[in-house]
Amino acid sequence: MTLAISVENLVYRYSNGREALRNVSLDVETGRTVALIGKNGAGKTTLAKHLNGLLKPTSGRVIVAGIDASKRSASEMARVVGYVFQNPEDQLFGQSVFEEVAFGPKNLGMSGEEIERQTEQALSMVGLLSCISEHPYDMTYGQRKMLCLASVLAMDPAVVVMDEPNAGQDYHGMRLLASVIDRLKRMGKTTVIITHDMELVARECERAALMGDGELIAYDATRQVLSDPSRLSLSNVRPPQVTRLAITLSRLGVRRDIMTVEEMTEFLVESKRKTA
Amino acid sequence: MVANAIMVSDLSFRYLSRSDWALDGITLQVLDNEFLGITGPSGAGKSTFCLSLNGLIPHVIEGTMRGNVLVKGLDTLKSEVSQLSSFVGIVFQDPRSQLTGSAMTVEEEVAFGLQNLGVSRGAMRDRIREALDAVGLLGFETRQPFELSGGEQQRLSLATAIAMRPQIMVLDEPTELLDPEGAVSVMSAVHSIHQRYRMTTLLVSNQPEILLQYAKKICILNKGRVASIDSPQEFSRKVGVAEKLGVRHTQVAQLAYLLDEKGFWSGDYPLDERQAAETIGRQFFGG
Repeated sequence: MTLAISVENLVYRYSNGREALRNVSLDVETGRTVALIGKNGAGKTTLAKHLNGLLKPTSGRVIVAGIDASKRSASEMARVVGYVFQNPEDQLFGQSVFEEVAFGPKNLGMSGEEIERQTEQALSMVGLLSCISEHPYDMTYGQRKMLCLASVLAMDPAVVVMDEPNAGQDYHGMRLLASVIDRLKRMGKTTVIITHDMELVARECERAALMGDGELIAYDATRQVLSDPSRLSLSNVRPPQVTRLAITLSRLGVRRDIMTVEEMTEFLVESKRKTA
Repeated sequence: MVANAIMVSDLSFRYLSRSDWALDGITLQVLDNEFLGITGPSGAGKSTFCLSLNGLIPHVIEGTMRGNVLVKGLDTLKSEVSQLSSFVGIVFQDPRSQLTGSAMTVEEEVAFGLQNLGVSRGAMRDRIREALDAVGLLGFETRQPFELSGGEQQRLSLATAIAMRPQIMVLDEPTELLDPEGAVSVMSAVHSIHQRYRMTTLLVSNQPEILLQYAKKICILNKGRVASIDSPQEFSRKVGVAEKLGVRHTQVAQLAYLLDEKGFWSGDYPLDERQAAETIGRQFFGG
């Protein structure tokens, strides 16, 4: 397996001396979907901004898709790393949805036809093709977040980083987001998702990195990370509700690491069959 | 007799730039001291509804309004925003839109609204402390508001509203950017302040766990209309309806629903994992 992301002993210190990242090391294999979880201020976004060269390490190394991100500008890194910001207002500037999404492909030097194709494909992935001529500021917050995602997808980057993509999304938005993530998986993309939504992590991410106070507390298979409430609690995270239920029921023989409603349903129905 | 804090009759609103109605005939009463949860898909009109409660709609935001909103007996059409704002506090979804921009510190940010209310200096200190404590920002007094993280700014805008102790508190997705335990602790602080000051509270949220834990009634808005108003017990059974409307539901309610479909659930649906564990223990493990 090749590595899409290799972070080695990364330290980042603000100008006031505060250490935002302390010796973080983590590798992500190509094609994986990884969650970055942990409390507010844990350093998740700071770490993610090193992946596309927006921040430069105080010390340590960050290699993304074989490129040393500490030596390249953010605009050079944009060809390989698509970054979807937490706040759409930090990203959006276009006068129309089309213009917004076409900007990236244009900058990459694609032909007119290609630009149109990439733009339409990206918009259809996030369910916004019908809004192509609207003004971004007439859209809801959730739609603007999806628009940011589309503008990143249109550039077809090898690595996609999403900072709280689920904020402002309703149930349909969440389903759409899950389908985009699934599609990225099938396309062999590497995806890093910063989120507080553990249901999303349980469903979509193969591995989870738990951060706290600038350090990596745990980095393991999602099931391992989410079924350890006392470790999660070190960084203000709770397992998904159904996992908390499983842990409570573990004294009755229920598996502690159940992560989805479907898994729990299956487990309970099966145990009923066995006793019948 | 319990009075109505808010009476909304046949309220409709269309933004100037839009052809469709964001609110389309909402009729709703909120009693004094009630805790009402509001949920619904994107575009249902939740935020628009919030803006109509302190007069920002129709006085500041341009568009066409029909119907009436009475807040503590005052007709928002005939009252000024400044007057309504003195007893209706709103915390918006995007915390940055709420910062004054002129306060250099977290403490000044919270003090700003209190100065406008004419609160004395001594009382102000107590209120600022109480509000910062409630949202977990004690120790942040001298930090600059614009340097805070998104989650911290969200806590700060809640603190500014809490400090003003409005009779009616309107919260538009106030914990979306908070980490999971942070969201729980901030909401439990909001709930205790709601009880301590008998503050009528409206909470817009797409986090059903939080709604079921704190709201006495839960309203689903859809396409600018009231789709339903339920007790938590009634709402917990609406898994199918929620899915159809695009409203998120709790995992334990979804579990009860799936087991119920297979004939493995009887009785109420659980409001939280503790109730789910009790029922499952009894129905599946005989204990």
